[in-house]
Amino acid sequence: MSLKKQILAVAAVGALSAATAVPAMALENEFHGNFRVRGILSNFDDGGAGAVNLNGTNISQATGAVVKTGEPNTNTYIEQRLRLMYIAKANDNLKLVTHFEFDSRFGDNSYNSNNSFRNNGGGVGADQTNLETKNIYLDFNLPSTPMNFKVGVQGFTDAYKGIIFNNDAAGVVATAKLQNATINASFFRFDDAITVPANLTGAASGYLDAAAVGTNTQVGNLTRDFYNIGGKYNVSKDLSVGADYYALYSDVLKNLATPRTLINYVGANAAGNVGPASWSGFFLYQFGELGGNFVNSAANPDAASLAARQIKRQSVSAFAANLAGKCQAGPGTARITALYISGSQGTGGDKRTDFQTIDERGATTAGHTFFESNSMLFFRHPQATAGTDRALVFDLNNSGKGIITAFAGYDLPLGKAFVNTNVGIGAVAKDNKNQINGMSKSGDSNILGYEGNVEVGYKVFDNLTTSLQGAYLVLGDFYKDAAANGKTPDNPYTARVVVNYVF
Amino acid sequence: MQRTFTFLLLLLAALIITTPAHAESIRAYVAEMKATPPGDSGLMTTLQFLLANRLNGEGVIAVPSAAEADVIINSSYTQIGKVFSLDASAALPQGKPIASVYEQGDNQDALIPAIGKVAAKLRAEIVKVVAARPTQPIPAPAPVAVAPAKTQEEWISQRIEGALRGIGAAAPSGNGEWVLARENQIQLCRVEGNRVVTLASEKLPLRAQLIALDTLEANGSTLVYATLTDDDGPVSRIYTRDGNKLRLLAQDLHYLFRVISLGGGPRKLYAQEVSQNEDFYGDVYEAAFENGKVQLKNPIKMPRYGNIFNFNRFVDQEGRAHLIVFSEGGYLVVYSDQGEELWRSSDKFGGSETFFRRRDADYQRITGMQFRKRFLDQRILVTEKGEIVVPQNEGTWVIGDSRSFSRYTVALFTWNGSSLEERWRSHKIQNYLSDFAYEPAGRKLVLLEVVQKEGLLSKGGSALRLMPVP
Repeated sequence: MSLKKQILAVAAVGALSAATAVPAMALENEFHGNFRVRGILSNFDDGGAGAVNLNGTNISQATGAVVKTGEPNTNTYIEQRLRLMYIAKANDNLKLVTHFEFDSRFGDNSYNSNNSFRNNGGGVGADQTNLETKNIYLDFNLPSTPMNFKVGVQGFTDAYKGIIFNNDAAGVVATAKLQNATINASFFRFDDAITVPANLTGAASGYLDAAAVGTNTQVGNLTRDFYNIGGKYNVSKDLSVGADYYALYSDVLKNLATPRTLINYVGANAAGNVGPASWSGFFLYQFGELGGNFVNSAANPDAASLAARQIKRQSVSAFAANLAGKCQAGPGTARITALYISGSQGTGGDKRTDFQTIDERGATTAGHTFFESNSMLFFRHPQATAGTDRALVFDLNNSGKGIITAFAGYDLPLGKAFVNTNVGIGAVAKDNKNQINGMSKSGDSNILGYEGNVEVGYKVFDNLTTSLQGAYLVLGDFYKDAAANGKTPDNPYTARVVVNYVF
Repeated sequence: MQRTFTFLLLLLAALIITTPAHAESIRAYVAEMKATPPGDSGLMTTLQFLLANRLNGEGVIAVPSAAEADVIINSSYTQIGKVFSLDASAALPQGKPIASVYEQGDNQDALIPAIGKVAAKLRAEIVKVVAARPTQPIPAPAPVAVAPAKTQEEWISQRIEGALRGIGAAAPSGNGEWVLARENQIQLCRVEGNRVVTLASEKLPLRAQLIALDTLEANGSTLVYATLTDDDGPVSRIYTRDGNKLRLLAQDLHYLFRVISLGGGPRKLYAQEVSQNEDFYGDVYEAAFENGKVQLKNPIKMPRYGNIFNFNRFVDQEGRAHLIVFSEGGYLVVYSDQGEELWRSSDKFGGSETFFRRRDADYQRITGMQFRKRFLDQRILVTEKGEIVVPQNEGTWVIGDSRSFSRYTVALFTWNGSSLEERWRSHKIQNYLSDFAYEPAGRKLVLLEVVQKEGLLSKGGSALRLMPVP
């Protein structure tokens, strides 16, 4: 029996044990939810998702195709999201968690009339088939042990502030709590597509030629899997340390007899308090091989046919590091965070030093985040919806360029009101001339830009918060004269009115 | 070397004192030994270990935590010149002293033999007193007495502005003076005639919110323990009553506070910490505010679900101590002295709308909000008679992270040897009970009700109700 099958078998036996070993009790129904409405005025947010095209329209990260050039128009629209969680709780040791999502933009569509289903239903008449299933998993404790299992499609956030994976996927997560230590082991199957080849990582995705990849015709044959084993230890209430191993394994290309992809992540993290200040940080080293990348040969650099192109393995040696701190300052809290994601001078050679990130299937949506920045334009925002999820650096791999960024902020609570402000800077770690944000070239500087944003909010009730958000990004010289029309693109801005109800 | 030796001693002590106790042994917990003059902490640890070790045997077994103990041993080591004195006292968990012994010597060579003598004396006294206690027959459960309507002796205050969430008696208890609190204010109040009059009020910092309020009499005055939290953890404060004012003694204390009458014994202050990734970190400690600092001692290990805000202890008819807590779903759970779950209620009890916020990456992924809510539980009161009193808030919209209670009752239970029997229940009151206190002298509950919730333009309103317990 393969390792994967053994893991699944153990998980299944565990689930059965939990289901049979606990006393029968009446089922309790538990509901949670989150409803958010956002009114948006922006030349950046446009109702779409992915890396922003500074030419004014979206761009496919996979193809790099620029659809339109010119200065972006101002978009004004309203969108909403409901996430509804229902938990069927048999007892304190066993529950089934289900989580659903309904997204739409005011006026977008109704009656499925545009042959779209999800992320629609705000058109006149409304009736739309738009229910999305985010999570369905069993959450149970093994009786008389400190073990907890979560089995099924579930959300997962890594121990590295989400830069590896912060998304939903099907898998098994086992956690053991032992005094001050927590140990966890996870397995996720990201891809087992029958007809569509799965992209490996963000960086690799741009080099995959879908037509050349063998079709997965057997369930469990061509897969992309994710493993994690790690732990965290509370040395004291003021200091915790953790260490993890993650692996992204993919054999989607093995039908072509090319090397499989195995990316290993080894990381250490820590967090602590010192007086009124607290800090946290991590270091992640990444090594392994990317399999099945098509690399133009030196002799025939522009070869279009597969036959003229080499199929080459690439070794990866990359890293990411973060350090953050916050401190009580006057009536509020001052924050600072810095992130380094290594880049690569080139992404076509034998060796790559750009940090390989994980994307969803199709490589147009990042499976990872860096919410700690509190950025509204540079990076993805936690209140993004399926309708609007734009960022200047949507994928932290950033087309192999990596990222160097630092954000500082100040949170001022004023009873029921609050004011949060942030400023930040971002630069590419290595400029490899790969195209980003729809630009035709890159400028002389590595500086991507400088962001400032502010959020002013008021808690109408304990569960209902309203806020005004505004953000402006001054583009750096990286984008100077780099638009498709040879001009410097306009600085992005966004203004949002947000109503958020959580229960 | 000394550290290694101390570590080995502690390891050995842990192995010894965690040996399963004989069924009929009296469980004794030896608290940390105090030294005068203070100094060698390693020596105190060694003496504590030696005392625990020599106490073992002939009907007494040392246990590692106060929560498991039938008897608590406090001891001190005093040295004046070359002469030393070892003093030790034993008390029941409720605080009642049962033995006090000492040994003295004129040089250090006599120290270890003195430990043995003190242990032998203590053991003899403990066995004599504890074993002599008659085993109380298990009373037949009485029928539930439900008060059908407001009793004649109940008293209700006028409407007090603000949705109050914490109450504690201003010393001396029973004099009609109270410390009340809302999210961002503490006020000293007095009952004059039929009205509650505010004598003084203290604003709290906007960056924090009050989640719990407790008071304790100290040297004829009142110490007010205000548990405040901001987005990074507790930033609690301690006030003292100074005439008709409240004076701040300490602030930004990283502890959660609660005053509990453990097992119906004397009211004591307890504290628990919060870590970066745990809402309630480590054990609950008995605490004292001395010389401007919070001192911790006598840790109590919490069972599953247990935290500083939702536990108490009672002693059954056979003298065994049981911890009782609210489960995360609101059920009352009783544990044996070995930590096994013995009983769980079928109905939910407690229920509080008060919460503190915790950063949570998973929650942010789901809701877009950085902070999830960690709701508190209601107090579990154990009376001087060993009865368990808990409120029961109910509401039409109490689901997930949305809580809005609208009515409550108070129930009184006794342990019948296998489960909690409901002996009395108050009439139903159409308000949310945010907190309550107890006056043992008159056996009265002091109930803090929110009669109107805080709204967008309204501060809400509250009332005090005094309700006798039969």
